Amino acid sequence: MAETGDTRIHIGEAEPGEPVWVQSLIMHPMETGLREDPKTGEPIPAHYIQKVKADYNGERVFEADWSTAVSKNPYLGFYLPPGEGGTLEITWEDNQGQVFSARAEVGSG
Amino acid sequence: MTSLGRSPWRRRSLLKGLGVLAIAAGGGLLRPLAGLAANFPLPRRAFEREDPDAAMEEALGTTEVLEGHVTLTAPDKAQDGAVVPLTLESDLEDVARFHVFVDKNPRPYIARIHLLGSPRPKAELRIKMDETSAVHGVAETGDGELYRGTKRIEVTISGCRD
Repeated sequence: MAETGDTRIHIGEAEPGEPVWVQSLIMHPMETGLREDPKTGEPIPAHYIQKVKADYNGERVFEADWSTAVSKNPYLGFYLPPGEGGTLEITWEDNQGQVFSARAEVGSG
Repeated sequence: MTSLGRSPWRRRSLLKGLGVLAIAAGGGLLRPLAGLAANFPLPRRAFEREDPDAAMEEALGTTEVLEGHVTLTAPDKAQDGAVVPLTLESDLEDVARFHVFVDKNPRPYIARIHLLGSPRPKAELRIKMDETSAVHGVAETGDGELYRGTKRIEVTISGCRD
């Protein structure tokens, strides 16, 4: 079973001079805070990723601010600038202070 | 391309709880987080607004958004409102960020996406929808111009209550 915070990053083919498409997934409940536990009737506290950051060779290239209405196990696709390749690091931060991070190597275009 | 880059959906180890530890240790002790100071503040108040116009006003500073230049690709009918895939694209050259709004969600402002070094204005995500609604993808240019693409998405099963 996937656990909260498990991540996957897929880097698209790097064509010379072309942006590189990145797809990412993180396992996360994305609880809205509006639900109740069906057994106890107790409200389930909000637990969701509110910030995503992507750093490419140490430089911020992408950032996202999320509400509770982003789906469970959030997916995100975006482009990286063309270049020599290097390391992409994606960081996800949730509203309970947990930080998850993953790296992937990008080939040269 | 390196062999590492070619492997699809490469699984990464998780750093579960690292944030909690880092905060407890005074921050950044375990590993420096690049560009942390560059963080955009979260648009918390806009995310909390319950009226679609109020949410847009809070998020964008206006509800005057021109039509066009944004293509919002999504299914016409979403069987499961908990997972509605969206693709946002623009033919504008200078898109600084995208915004997503769902008029009939309990809180209509869904997400803000900053394209910092991202050279092609396209982003994909999956959202929750409470009921059938107009969905707006807004592109904000570096000059602060606002354009939108709107699509009505039919929802069979609500995705906000479960």
